[in-house]
Amino acid sequence: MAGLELRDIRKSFGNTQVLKGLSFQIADGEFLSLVGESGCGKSTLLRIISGLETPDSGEVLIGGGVMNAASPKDRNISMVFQDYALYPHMSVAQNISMLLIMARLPLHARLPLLNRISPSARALRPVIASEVEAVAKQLRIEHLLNRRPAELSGGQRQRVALGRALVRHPKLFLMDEPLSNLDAKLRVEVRKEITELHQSTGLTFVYVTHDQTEAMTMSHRVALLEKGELLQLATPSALYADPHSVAVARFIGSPEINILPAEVSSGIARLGAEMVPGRAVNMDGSTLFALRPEAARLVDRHDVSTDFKLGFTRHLTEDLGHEVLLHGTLDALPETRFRMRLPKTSDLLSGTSLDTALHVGFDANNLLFFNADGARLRDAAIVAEASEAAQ
Amino acid sequence: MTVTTSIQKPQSSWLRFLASFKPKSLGDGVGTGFLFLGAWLIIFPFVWMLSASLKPADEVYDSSFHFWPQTFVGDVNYYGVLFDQPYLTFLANSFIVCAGILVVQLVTAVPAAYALAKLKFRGSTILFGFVVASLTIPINVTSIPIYLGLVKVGLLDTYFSLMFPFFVSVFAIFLFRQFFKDYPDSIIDAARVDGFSEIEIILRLILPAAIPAVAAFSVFSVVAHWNDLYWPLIVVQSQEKMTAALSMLQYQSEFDNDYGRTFASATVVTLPMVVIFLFARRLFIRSITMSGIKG
Repeated sequence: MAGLELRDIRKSFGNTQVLKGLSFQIADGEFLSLVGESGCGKSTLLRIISGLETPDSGEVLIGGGVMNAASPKDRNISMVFQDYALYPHMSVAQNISMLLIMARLPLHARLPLLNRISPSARALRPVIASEVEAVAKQLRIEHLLNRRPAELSGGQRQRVALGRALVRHPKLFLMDEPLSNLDAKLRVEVRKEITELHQSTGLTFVYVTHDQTEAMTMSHRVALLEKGELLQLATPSALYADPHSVAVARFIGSPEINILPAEVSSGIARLGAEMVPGRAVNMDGSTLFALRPEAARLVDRHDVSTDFKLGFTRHLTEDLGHEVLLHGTLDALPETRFRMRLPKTSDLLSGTSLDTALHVGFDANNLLFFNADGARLRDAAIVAEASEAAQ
Repeated sequence: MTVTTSIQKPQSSWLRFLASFKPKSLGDGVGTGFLFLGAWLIIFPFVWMLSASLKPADEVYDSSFHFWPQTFVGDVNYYGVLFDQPYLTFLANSFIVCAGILVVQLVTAVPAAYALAKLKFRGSTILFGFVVASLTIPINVTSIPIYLGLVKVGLLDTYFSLMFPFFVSVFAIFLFRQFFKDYPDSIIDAARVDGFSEIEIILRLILPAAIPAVAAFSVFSVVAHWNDLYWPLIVVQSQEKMTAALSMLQYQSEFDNDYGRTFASATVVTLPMVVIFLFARRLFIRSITMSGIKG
């Protein structure tokens, strides 16, 4: 049974089409990330799933049932918001218990004064308190229960927001950029905690983020959205290694993939002024060559071990300790930025200045090919002349 | 060598108080002078009111002004105002009218403001435009139709008729809308996911956050309707329904204007507001700065 299924969801605000017919399924217990630039419609989609927004057309199925007409509280979902959205004038315990109070007490028992004498409120209060405590224990926030949100740090607020979502035991757990207000170190920590939470609860998670690292590290599958359309829905490794389009290739991976414009005519490809060694198969006209930064390495001027060897001008070096990032341009394509990720600083770099001529080597089978519109050319290849001659 | 100790000499608090008026510079002195002038312009009518309330009517007309009356009739004037007429009834009437108006204004304005600030619905912009536009209609325009309507249903000279035109305060809707707009949408969304109804969102989330705005508006509304003379003058016919402000006019007639008593009456009508002001000064000031309108 699908945890969540979307069928041709469309939504417009005024004249802007925000979602242009999205359909996909998420398995029960799956962790799916919705990723994209801001304005791609990912948050709107999450709000449609939660019921806070209604789609213009299309169907939302949660646990197999069509939920289009159901209000947010009837969908059995929980949502964690970017700014945590805690009730500012209530204590942490009240924040977490609010949902239970709303769900279990009749209206008259929720009114001030009456809630003190109503028998149902009296009977339920200890039950609710113990459930709140259990959730607080799970998230290690028992000692904060009497504080107000204003007295908490960002990470603590985040935990309270998670607690408020957990106490419901929902079918579907929705998160809208929950880490974007945390500092970098805490973000990595909470990222891990959310992953553990997913593993321990086994719930279906839909996680919205603009940060591809979060999406790649946490999810089973990632849905990449652009301008209201689903570019690709795949596992993180598939997205990285096998992008359908140049937009996906660009979005996934940091530093960004290198996109090299090439001109191909009758089997001969050129990168700027430089002729590419080997024969170009199934490419024509303007073509894009894409190369992950780690697929390139520095080579000696006389090295012939790689298919490609191109002159490189370095503009900037970022030494991260465990790896080195080089930013610069290929001499053949002075207009196009070229990034390299080296596992450690290279002998070829030692004693060089930014002016020193360097050479970049990479192999043809590491290249991805796209046509000028950005669509992947799956059957394109660069075939070495020599090997073909040998056949 | 003699040490000048006069500077360090401990001064009495009274001297320190006087010394605080000493201007630090010429510009400062000029500024203080202007402030004193401004304060005098505001206070003088009250001083005059107090002074006149102690005088017989003919002395009020006197061209030469003495603060202390030449013929002191303050005791007579105040006795008449406090005991020859049902002064407490007037106060009670004013209280009932102000409280009634305020309660209904809040009950109508808060949900309306919430809807205009936070709910998306067709025509909300146009509706808000109407709200703002109706801020410009003075009560004088609507008072005659409302008066005629009240005559038709036979409700003149009732508390209802005193309160009715003010039940919906456009100003309150406007003020609260601006205040509610700043409330984070995500908290409202979270509340919807938690199962709050819209009314509960207002009562449990928005109102607790809007207490400063509600308090400020309450001050504004109570002061305005306590001091209102125009509408009570139109709909009140009997002494039992007179508000405190209206009761002053009892000493005015075509043939005899007892200004001494009128001003004694004005003094006792103003007094409750002055007392409240002394206790809730910060609230008053906030209401004026928040609304951007001088009361």
